[in-house]
Amino acid sequence: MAPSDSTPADEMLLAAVAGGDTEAVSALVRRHQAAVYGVTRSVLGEPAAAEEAAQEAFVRAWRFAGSFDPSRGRAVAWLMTIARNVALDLRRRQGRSVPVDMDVLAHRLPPAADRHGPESAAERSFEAERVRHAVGALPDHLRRPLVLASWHGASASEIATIEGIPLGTAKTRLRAAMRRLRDQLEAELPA
Amino acid sequence: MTGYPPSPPGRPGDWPAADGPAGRPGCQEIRLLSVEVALGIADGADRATVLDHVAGCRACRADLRSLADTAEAVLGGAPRAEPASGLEQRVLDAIAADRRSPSITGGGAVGQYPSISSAPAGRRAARRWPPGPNLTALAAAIALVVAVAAWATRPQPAPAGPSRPQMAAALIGTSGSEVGTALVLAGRRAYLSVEVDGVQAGTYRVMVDSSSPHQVGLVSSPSGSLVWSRMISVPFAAVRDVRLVQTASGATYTSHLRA
Repeated sequence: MAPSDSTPADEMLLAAVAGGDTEAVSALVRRHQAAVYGVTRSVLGEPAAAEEAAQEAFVRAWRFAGSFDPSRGRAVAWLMTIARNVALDLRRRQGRSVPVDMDVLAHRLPPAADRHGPESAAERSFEAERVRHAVGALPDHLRRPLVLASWHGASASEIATIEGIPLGTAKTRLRAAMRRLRDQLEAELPA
Repeated sequence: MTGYPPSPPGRPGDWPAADGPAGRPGCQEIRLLSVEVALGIADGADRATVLDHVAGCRACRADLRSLADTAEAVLGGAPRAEPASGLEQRVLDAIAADRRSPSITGGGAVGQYPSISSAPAGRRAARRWPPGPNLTALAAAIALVVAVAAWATRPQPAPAGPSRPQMAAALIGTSGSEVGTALVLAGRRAYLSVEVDGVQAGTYRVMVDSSSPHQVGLVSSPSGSLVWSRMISVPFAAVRDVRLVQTASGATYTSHLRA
């Protein structure tokens, strides 16, 4: 919970959104649209559908901002989870399949570019890059199921089909990937 | 980013049992399903099974909590992408349409928080909402299990409960100048966020006044602006004023939240 210079916390921004401040809504969109659209694009693949989902995600964030509880997690995580769930709902309704990004699966992780701000954006990008580096460092057979699940919203059975592996193997690989990633991220934290 | 708690006590080697009593899934199966719950890819039945199990199994609850933190981190690393221009306006248009709907009580419908836009014109012109940091890994309580349940529920990704009580007021210096805002949110523990711009650089004590003054934080601002957020031990209902007091000069900025 580090204090920070000059920019309002996401949590404060959400509180202002809950208070009906449209300027805060605009700021929330500007600040997080690349992350939110990135999630919906990963889940849906098709740009128009992803934009529709991103828009709906922000509207839901506005609608439920008053019930956001900062003691339960970070605002940006809450926002990205909403985006992911909206996109998954849309994908299910439209009967779309899991869009597989071969670049991502093949370990060519694109940079977490964020053109929406000065120092704060750099801070966000640092966190995202740290995670992406850790994900990229996983062995291929663990990274692919994890990316399919987290970023593309694939279920264990869909992962099994895409990867051509038994369902049980997909599940154990997911757990192994999560444990290894957790250990790696823990190890990177300063003592 | 949320901190990564120590690894849960349960490891594959010490899982209590592969099968639970009376055909119910044991810890080993639950821990495989917990991964899917944490990642948000479990179906409703599996999610219910896991949540039912962890309600009575501390080791699996800790495991789920740890997985949820990791899943949150992974999702935060998802590739960014720039939408076509105009998303901001489309969102505002959609919200305006929602507001016209009598059945929707969206942001701002409830609560004591005054709109930032209601600040004096001069101040409003000076204060914008710039893109900002992902601040603060806020303390994760054991009730994270509930959060996992809520966040992992796809059809209702955000809890639709009533708006949380909150109050905010401008931080005013002894000269009468407004320098920022203090906001307090109710919750299991009250949450205080302070935003300040244009004060003297230095170190400030963050004080909350209830029946007595409490120092709840110490923050340094080398540039004269700061944002600070924290759970506080003072109950929401008892919070009366929030003050920033510069340690060197004693300069004080006060936010009167309750008369």
